[in-house]
Amino acid sequence: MLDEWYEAGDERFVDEVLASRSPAKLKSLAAKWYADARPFARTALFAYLDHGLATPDHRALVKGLFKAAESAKDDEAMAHFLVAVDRVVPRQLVSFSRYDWQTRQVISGQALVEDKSIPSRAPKKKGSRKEGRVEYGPLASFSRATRRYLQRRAWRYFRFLGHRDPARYGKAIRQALALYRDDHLVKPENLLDAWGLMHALYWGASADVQYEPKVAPVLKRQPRGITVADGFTLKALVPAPFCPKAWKGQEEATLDLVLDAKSRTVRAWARQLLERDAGAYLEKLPMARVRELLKSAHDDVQTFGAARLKTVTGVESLPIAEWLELLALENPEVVPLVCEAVVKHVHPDRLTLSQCLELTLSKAASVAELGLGWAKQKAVRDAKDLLALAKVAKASAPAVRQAGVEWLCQLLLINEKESRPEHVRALLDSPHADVRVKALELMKKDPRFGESELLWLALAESPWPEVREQLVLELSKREKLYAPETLEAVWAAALLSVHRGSRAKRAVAAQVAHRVVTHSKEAERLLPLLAHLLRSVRPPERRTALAALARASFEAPQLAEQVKRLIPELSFVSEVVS
Amino acid sequence: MNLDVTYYGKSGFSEGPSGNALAFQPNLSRAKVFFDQQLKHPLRFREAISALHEVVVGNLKFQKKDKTAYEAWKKQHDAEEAEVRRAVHDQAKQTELARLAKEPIPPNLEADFRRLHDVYWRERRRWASELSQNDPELFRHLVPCDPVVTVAPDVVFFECFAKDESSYGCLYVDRDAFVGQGAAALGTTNVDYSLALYEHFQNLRTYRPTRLSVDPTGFEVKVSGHSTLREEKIDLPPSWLRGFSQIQGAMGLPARTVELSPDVVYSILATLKRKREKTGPRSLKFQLSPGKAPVVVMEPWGTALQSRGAAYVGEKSEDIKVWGRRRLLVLSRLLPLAEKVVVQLLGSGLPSIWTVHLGEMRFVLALSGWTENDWTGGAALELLAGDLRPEPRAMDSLAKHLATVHTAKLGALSPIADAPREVLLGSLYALAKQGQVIYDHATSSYRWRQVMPLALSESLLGEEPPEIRAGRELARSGTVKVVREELLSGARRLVVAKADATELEGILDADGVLTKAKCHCAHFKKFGLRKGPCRHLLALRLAGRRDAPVDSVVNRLKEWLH
Repeated sequence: MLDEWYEAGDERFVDEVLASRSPAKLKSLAAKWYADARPFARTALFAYLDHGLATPDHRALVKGLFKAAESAKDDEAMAHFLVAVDRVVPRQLVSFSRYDWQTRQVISGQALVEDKSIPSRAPKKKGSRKEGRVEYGPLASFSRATRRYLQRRAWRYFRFLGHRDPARYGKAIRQALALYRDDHLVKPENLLDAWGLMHALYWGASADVQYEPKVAPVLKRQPRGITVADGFTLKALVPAPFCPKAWKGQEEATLDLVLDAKSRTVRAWARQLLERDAGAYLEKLPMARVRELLKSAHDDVQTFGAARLKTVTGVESLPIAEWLELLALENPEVVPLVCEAVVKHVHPDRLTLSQCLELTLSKAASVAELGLGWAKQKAVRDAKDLLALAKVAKASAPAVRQAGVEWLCQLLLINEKESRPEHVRALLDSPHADVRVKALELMKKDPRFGESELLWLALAESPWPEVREQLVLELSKREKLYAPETLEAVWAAALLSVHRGSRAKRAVAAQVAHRVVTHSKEAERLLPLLAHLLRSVRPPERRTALAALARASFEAPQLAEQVKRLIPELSFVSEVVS
Repeated sequence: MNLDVTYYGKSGFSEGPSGNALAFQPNLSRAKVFFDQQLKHPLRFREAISALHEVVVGNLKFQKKDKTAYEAWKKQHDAEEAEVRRAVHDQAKQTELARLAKEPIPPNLEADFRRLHDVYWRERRRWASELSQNDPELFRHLVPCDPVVTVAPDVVFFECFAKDESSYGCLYVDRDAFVGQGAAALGTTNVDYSLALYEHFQNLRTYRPTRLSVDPTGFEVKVSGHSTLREEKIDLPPSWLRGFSQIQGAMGLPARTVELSPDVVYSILATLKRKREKTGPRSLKFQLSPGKAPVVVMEPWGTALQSRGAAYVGEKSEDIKVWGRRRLLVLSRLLPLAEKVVVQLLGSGLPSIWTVHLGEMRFVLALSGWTENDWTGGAALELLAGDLRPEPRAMDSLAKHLATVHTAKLGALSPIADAPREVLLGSLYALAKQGQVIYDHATSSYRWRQVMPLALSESLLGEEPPEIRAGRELARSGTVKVVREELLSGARRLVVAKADATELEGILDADGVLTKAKCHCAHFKKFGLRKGPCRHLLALRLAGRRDAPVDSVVNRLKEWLH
């Protein structure tokens, strides 16, 4: 399948290679694969390298590919190799404590220990020693010594490149740095294990290097890997890249690295380098670049971009749609800075009422406040504007919602000509209880709303218990508004409410009894509602139902037959006596 | 099991000039399913789907007190002590590691893996519970709560399984509940679901015509890397899958059908809302007498509720107890709309299926025997289905036929299976357990519904614990003999028995739960009751079920088959 998928350019080829455990077959593939000019082969090669180089029985293939890439001076492939080999010698940070007999104290500390599952060297073969030569036994994957050698050799390629051609080195190393991912550098020890990365970023932070400007010697480079020098922590590291010439005057490329790097470590390093060495460049950063930073998927880059907003150039010409897009960011560190810039550079006249109201719906309170503040400055001309204003009832920020609804209620009361019951209905349907309370108050305050059929009909459909209770208490006065089915639904919801509404149940029972008397045709459907209440486990509910049924039967004796049929367990005293 | 889901945007409620739409985003990783029609009774749908939401978020498992602050202090305190011990420990660890490196792979590696896997899932669930309170958005990514929607020729139905793995909810909406003609592609898919969607449901009103749609847009614009395309991998825990498959299987098993009037359900819910029981039994006892309306007794208060619905049709009088009754509170929103409530009872301590008829909609709430999705329920169900024989050939032909016709009654399926009745039922039971088929009690028909893109095989569900397997075999073989039974205080029972020549004794409380036990087997000596009862105690409980002897259940099954 390997050859078949390779020839066909099938995507499954890489998985098949990774699954293969045939060193001979894989070895024969190396030269052919590397020389293949098809885009498929190149993509597959990088995907294979990104997977890692620790796959058992792949030593020959890795060596073949490495040598081919190195001799071809293939910067791109070597960048992938550099990232891959930086992950092959994992160490573990462990805490230790030991007793010092001289000071009679327990000394605690931390140390990097090797991964014991990786053999340090291949075992020597016994009995097959040729003259003057030691033979080694087979190993499925690279020994630790070979891994370290691969790390050094991959970095050597870039080091030599830096000496020969700093410009090309800069391009190649930036390409490599962008390939490191956060999952490669999860722990601090992963960073120290990355031989190539540490040299590329912090070459000057080692005591054995003369570096200008002088930086703290935080690192110790040893044959067994990099460690942190005594008295220092990784926090003290500052950018000290290898081949400083390659970075000088490359602010644009460094900023691209901030945008493109997949690892937070690399992004942070590039940001620090720019802030330290390219302050003037950052101050004059055009808005187009800042916008790129703000739109990044990474929080740290967004924050870096937001900090540039204070000095950015060309911000005045930014279209309003772009500003709105920036205000939609969800980074809590960035939003206040963007708001500050918006207040400084955007005049409220550039936004429509609808856009201001969209801002009030933002989860970020500062954006919502800004939107409401601007909306209040707009002229509310007609009923359409008022209906649009009802959006504030959906605002997530409670303070903004409260202030917005308060303002809307005032407008509805003042603009007698333009305000409509539909505006209040939008508030009544709000998912927020505080808004619904305001709407109910509005109905009490203004008879235009208090007597509106539309609103009373809307109350009957509300799923919110406090709204329905309000309706039930007033229902006896407004029965005529409703269809019999609507009334039945409202009463059923009140009587069979499990969670609340015992006071409403009393009122509803009386209303049902009255309805049964005045509309005897509906008795067949309404009496079962009272029957449900009569059969309730709660004595107060039973008493309420009994009183309602007795009243109905007394006022309309013709119902007695129906009551008897629908509620057979009920017998009236008068019947028993007679 | 990893379930791949891909959604185009989020489900939600949109307001437009041509009306509103409640649009569910289907899983683009599955076959194309869509639906779009206007709701005739939006309010009824609102109440029903809100009840379904209650099932989705339902979790009545015991919640432990939050001791985070105390734990933090204790951790710091322990760290200081641990520092002292660490040196010794590290040395011992190195020695042990060096020794282990030379040894071959231990034979109990698989068992250890399962044990640690259980530990992982227990912690994961605890964390998810904490997240559900503090960070619902993150919680949504961890907990499988996306409902499954099926568009069938006659109905559209939504299904969900509670996060405590004990309740299953299904809302059937007949196609008559929609106005006009609409496009539809039949099939089953997951739909994107979030807690915020509940608020959108509350927007449904009659004065705002609303379309219900399973939005097909995503299928047309499906482009890898599209900004609104969300791809997720949901790791479904084996217990969730096993619980789901058990409840699906249970729904197709023969059961006693009881009709309750809404006032009885109201009284049950009102009592549960107002009273909190301090001691057991905490069951609902159904007193069934042929020709009479059923009576439901709420224990421990002894409140008897006489149903005014249809009389019970059965051959003999019996009492059936079901537990975990607080899960019924999800029905509270449906009561005002309920025409009748039909309950299918499989037996005491076994799942019960509550169907609320709401005109052109039906809400089905299936409850496992206990609030905990426990082992005995599963084992007892297997016993109940013991006489049913699934056959691969019949399963295959039934699956093919149902996939074509989407729904069929048992009579129509009989010639397709071309096998004896117990094979037919066994094959359908097996298909239901695999999540391929669902039994609709209201129409007495089997529906084709693939809950997952693939059948839930035993390998996906994980192997059943060996003690349960062995316990079930013991109970089935009839080697459990009760030597002595004594009534103790507080309605407890002491049972002394012999199972497969092993002596054992146990104290069962009023709910039939083993509170204390003793067995002479190696498993009990090693673990006690910490890892659940041993096979002998399990067999005793299964065989000696006080309220629903296994024999009677099996006999009833035989009666039903012939």
